[in-house]
Order: sequence, then structure tokens, then C-alpha cells
Amino acid sequence: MNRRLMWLSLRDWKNYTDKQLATAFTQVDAPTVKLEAEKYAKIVSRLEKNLEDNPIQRNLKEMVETFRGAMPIVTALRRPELKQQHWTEINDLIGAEL
Amino acid sequence: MQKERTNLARSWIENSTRALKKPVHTVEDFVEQVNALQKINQFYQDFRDKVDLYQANYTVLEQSGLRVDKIDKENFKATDNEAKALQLLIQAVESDAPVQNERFKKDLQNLIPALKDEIELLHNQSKNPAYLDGESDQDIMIKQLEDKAATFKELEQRAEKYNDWQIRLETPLT
Repeated sequence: MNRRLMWLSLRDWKNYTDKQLATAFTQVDAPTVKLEAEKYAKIVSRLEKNLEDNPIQRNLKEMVETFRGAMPIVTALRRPELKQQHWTEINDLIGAEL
Repeated sequence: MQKERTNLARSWIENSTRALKKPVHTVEDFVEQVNALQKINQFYQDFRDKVDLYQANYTVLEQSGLRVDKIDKENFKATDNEAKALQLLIQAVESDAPVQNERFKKDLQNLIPALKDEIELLHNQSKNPAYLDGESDQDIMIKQLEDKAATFKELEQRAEKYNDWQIRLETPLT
């Protein structure tokens, strides 16, 4: 059952992140994405407890952790308090337009 | 009204007769028959009393000079006969039950190890190293593991069914 959960989670997480990456930044629902990432982090933790170490599980863990690592930035950038002047500064700082 | 009530009673009697006459070849058939017998025994007397009451009503109607259709009389007669036949059938099934019980206990005792073997086999198959191999094809692995999950569910349901049968046949639970 854990093997099935692992493969399904890997597939579903890939699909989910692909969908998020294809979404316009202004349309990203940060709290929902955060909840989803937490859910998959719990799955990873469960798999680690119940399965021997393996590349599929490591791959899933890495993808979930990378995504979770970016979540504070996404959440901050989606704050409604950000005004045009802030965006200008951010874009100047990163040298790209978000 | 009398006619409708007679028909209702007759319908119950016929359904009960059918349930008890169903051929018994497997443990499942036998358990089904035992369950049916229990239910029929619970309600038989009520229906018998009703049929007797309808007979009394028909007698009163006739004695009062009121006409009763021939078809209704025949229907009642048939119902009464079927009720009597059902009683005999109940007795026959009951007297046969202990022998059948012993026979199907043995069958069940053979089914349980076979189920255990199937569970063991599934357990071993799920340990296939391909399921933990990063080079394995994701879609194929998911398909195989989904099939195994479906088989597991089916085995689980069968195990529950066997447990119910063990309770019904009064054998020790495994």
C-alpha cells in the first residue's frame, strides 16, 4: 500500500506543480498551495517511516521540499499590501519582471 | 381487502418456500439458507395465524350467506396448502441442518488456508524490487500497484465473509 501511495504521490505532485507553474503568478492561491505542500510533506514523512530508502521516495521528497522552500516567498509576494512601487523595486532587484 | 391480505400472505409464503428450496452446493448457499430459515422461523407463525384468521373470515362470510368468488376461495385454499407445505419444508431443512453444517464446516476449513495462500502470494508480489527502482516506468508501476490494491480489497472482503460464515457455522474464528 505504501508503494502504491509513493508512486501515486509522485505522479500527482508532478501534475500539481506543473499546473501551478503554468498559472499566472497573480492567480496563484498561496494558502491552498501551502496546504497541498504540507499534505505531501506528511506523505513523504509517512513513506520514510514505512519504506526502505529508495530513489522514488527521495525524488518526491526533494521536489516537495524545494517547493515548500519557495512557499514563504510566494506567500510574501502574493500579499495584497504590495503596491506598484514595491513591484518596481522587486523587479529591479531580481533583474526580471514578475 | 380479504383478497389482498391473502395475496400478501401468499407472496411471503412463496418467497420463503423459494428461499428454502434453493439448491445448496456451497458454504455460501448453506449460510444463505440458514439465514433465510432463521428469518422465516421468526415470521412463520404470524403468517400462519393470519391465514387461519382469513379462513375464519371466509367461513363467517359463507355462514352469513354472502357470496365469495370462486377464484378467491381457490386462492385462499392454495395459500393454505402452501403454508402447510412450507411448514413441512421448514421441518425438513431443520432436520437436515446438523449434517449439512458438518459438511460445510469442512469445506470452509479448506477455503481458509487457500485464502491465506493468496494473501501470502500478494504480499510477496508487492515486495518486487521494481516498485522501489527509480528506473521503473511510473505508469506501469501505478497500474500494477492499483491492480494489487484491488486484489487486496477483494481478499479482505472475502476474509470478512469467511469470518461471518465461521460465526454462522460455529467454527473457531481464524
